[in-house]
Amino acid sequence: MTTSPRFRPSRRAFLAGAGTFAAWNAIPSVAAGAPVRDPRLIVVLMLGAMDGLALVAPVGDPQYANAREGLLLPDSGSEAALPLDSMFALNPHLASVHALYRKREALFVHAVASPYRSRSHFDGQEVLQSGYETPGHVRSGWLNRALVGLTAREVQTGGLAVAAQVPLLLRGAAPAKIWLPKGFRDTTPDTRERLMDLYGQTDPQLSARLAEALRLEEEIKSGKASMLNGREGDRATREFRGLARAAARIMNRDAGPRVGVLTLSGWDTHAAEKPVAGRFGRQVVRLDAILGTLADEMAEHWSATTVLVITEFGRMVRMNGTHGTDHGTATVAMLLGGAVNGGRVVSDWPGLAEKDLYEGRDLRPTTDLRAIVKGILAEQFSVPDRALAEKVFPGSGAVRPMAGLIRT
Amino acid sequence: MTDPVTATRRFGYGARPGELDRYRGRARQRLLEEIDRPGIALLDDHGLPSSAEIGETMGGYIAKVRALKLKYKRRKKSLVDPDGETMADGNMAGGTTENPDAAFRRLRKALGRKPSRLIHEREVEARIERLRTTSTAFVERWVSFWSGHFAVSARKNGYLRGFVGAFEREAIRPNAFAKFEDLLVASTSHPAMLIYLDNIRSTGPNSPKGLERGRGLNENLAREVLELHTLGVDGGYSQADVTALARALTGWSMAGRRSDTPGLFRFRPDAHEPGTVTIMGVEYPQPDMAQARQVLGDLARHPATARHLATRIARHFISENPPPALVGRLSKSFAETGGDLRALARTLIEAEESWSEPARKVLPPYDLVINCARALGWVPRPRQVRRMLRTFGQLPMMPPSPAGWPDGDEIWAASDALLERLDWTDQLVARVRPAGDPIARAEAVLGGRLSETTRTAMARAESPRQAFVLFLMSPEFQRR
Repeated sequence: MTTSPRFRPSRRAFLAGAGTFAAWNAIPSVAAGAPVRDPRLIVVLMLGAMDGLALVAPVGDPQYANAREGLLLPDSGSEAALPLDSMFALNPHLASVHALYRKREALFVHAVASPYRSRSHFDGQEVLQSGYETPGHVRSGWLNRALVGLTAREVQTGGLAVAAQVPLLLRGAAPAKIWLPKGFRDTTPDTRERLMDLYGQTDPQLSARLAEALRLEEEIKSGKASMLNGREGDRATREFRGLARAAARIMNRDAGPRVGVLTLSGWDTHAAEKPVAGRFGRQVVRLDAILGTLADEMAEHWSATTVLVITEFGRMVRMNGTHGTDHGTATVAMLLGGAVNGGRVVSDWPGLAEKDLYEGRDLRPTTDLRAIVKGILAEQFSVPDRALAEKVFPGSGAVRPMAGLIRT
Repeated sequence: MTDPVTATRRFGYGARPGELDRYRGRARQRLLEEIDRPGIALLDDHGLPSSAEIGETMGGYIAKVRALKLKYKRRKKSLVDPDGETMADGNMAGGTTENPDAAFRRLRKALGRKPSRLIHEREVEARIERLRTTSTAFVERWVSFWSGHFAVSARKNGYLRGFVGAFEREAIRPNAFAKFEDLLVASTSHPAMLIYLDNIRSTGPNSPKGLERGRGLNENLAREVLELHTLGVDGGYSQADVTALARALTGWSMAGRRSDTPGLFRFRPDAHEPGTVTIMGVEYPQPDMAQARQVLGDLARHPATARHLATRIARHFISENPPPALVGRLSKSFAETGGDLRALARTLIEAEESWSEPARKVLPPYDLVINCARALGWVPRPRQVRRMLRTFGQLPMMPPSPAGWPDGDEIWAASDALLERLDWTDQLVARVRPAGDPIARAEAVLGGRLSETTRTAMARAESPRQAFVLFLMSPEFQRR
């Protein structure tokens, strides 16, 4: 039950192709057997509980058509789902991601969940970011604690969040800086200079911070123009593309932060979800804009980059009474980047038959999200097993890091 | 030296022009008089609804939405059913067969905006108005500290959003200068806190309800009471103490939508875990509600609580690395008076350090708005404030977690936020167009704290607008 297509595929496909070309030029700089040199990790948080079955659909599951009635991805036409393997197909709006998949730079893990098993956004997001098994731990996030254990230089460069405040994921002992999208028109360069001068004479801390902000801004503005800078998409899509570009330009510097966080909320599709032409579809367009931009802008460092795309939990398998889905459990996680051993969908698929569902309603989790993150941190950043089990994800000793996610 | 500038900045939201004179020569004495006025912390002159009224309004709204949903479901089923009878019925009632989806959307829209949103907006506006105009700003800063200490966040869900303002008016404000124990009990038993920290459905596994429905404990509230509200994270409690307190707190809930007192606290005996609990080595054999009530009293008087609160207050008002002597004095005052919060405020005002320590704390965005409004005589429109605070990440009554807003000295001046602050200030000045001499205004607000450097920079500015921007962005204005 999909509605008429409103999308213009031709121009979009052209742009996605251009982005692909830029990324393809990146030089792989990895020696076999060694950890990825000078690695970068960007975490994209999809807040609001993303419906994994509408992003990466199990089209080969015999129950798919029945269980997902009203939420199916089209199998033909200009908005047909993009094939991944005999079992899974990708939401058609993820054209940039699909291009990466074909270059073996995108990997999907399906039926994933954090250890959190209730259905509150607030608690789910806390568990997702804190790395503890239960909600209520709000002092530090797993990404910051992972950073603390790395080499002095990596710790020094700290983490970057594109947000108004440091998100829980990046809170903790290692330094974290933020970059904000421009909310207000710039004041004149003259006023800026005068304030810099005033701070220079009176307040060293504020002086250093303002100087840092001006430097960041300069770097973002001076970055080379890209084919993806165009005005394609609605206002929100353009804004998100801008955020991704800023994050990538800051992280792409040799002295730039090694870890970064981007947030895309709005996945709480209780009503009028429509995977392609509705609320969900619009979200996916934005997500693809973010991910395509990251791939394009991280050019020099793309070969050593992993982009991890995660959400607090999934949604119910069946459509609810308002053409949406309510809070559920397992969902899909994505890994993108030159460092990723991609071109695969990894899943111990639980099935969509009634008896296979978690509590009779949700996709049953078969992979612990922590296993994925631990796998990345172990193989890409050489974080030792013990630190992963005790510091980064306390009490997760029984959850083995997933092997083979990163190219070595 | 008790200067009027410290009285209005460290202990307030900045001077309005002319206000420094009121504190000149007797700053400390005046602050002490202000906190002694009975009922000074209440916010009851804005006609804001009580929890009982909110519970009723929201209950009514939810009932209407549910009825509509039910009707919609039936209607839809009847349209899909090849059963002519109900179709005919629908035709008779409506005259035409409207698409049920469209009908649902239309009727839902006709119910108007969610009452929780409307209430929340009124609460925010009432506070901005109070803070903008108050002549007893320290009282408001003190209330704000305790609201942050017992944080509830409208982010959790739409229902809670309607209650967060009432929480501050009903649990915090009446007890801000009472005994800490009263404040703790008022907070822990308020529906907003019980919703926020998931206690409303926490059920003793061996209670009648627990045995019947197989429900269990939720430790959220118990953990935060120990970790954030009383002893502090290093206060010497264990996981067993958390679980024991969670058991004692089972049954602390709120009256449901269909009860005669929706929105009010209700103890549910059939959800309360029976039996004695042991917390911090003390046994509590009390039955029902009396059990957790006794625990809260003991926690309020615990020495670890005194230290924890003293440290948080000193960090909030002075600096993230406060003078240990001041923390010691606050802690001692708390312990000796049995947790008397007026005595605690008095100790803070009387302390030499409160007047002599340099201003380190950068204004949080919300406080920046208020300080600017007072300094410029600006009457902010709610939309302007919302936009500014959304950009800077501090929407009112929506802290990110039960730990409240971050409280570090320079946490709100993270690299890019400072530049954004400059841009916002520039636009603010352009819009407000403050009249008069910028330097005279700066003197009226900052008094003797206006530095020669800032004065010179303002004097050399290319326009009054630029001079005002430099004044508002100066370290003297940004820090307190």
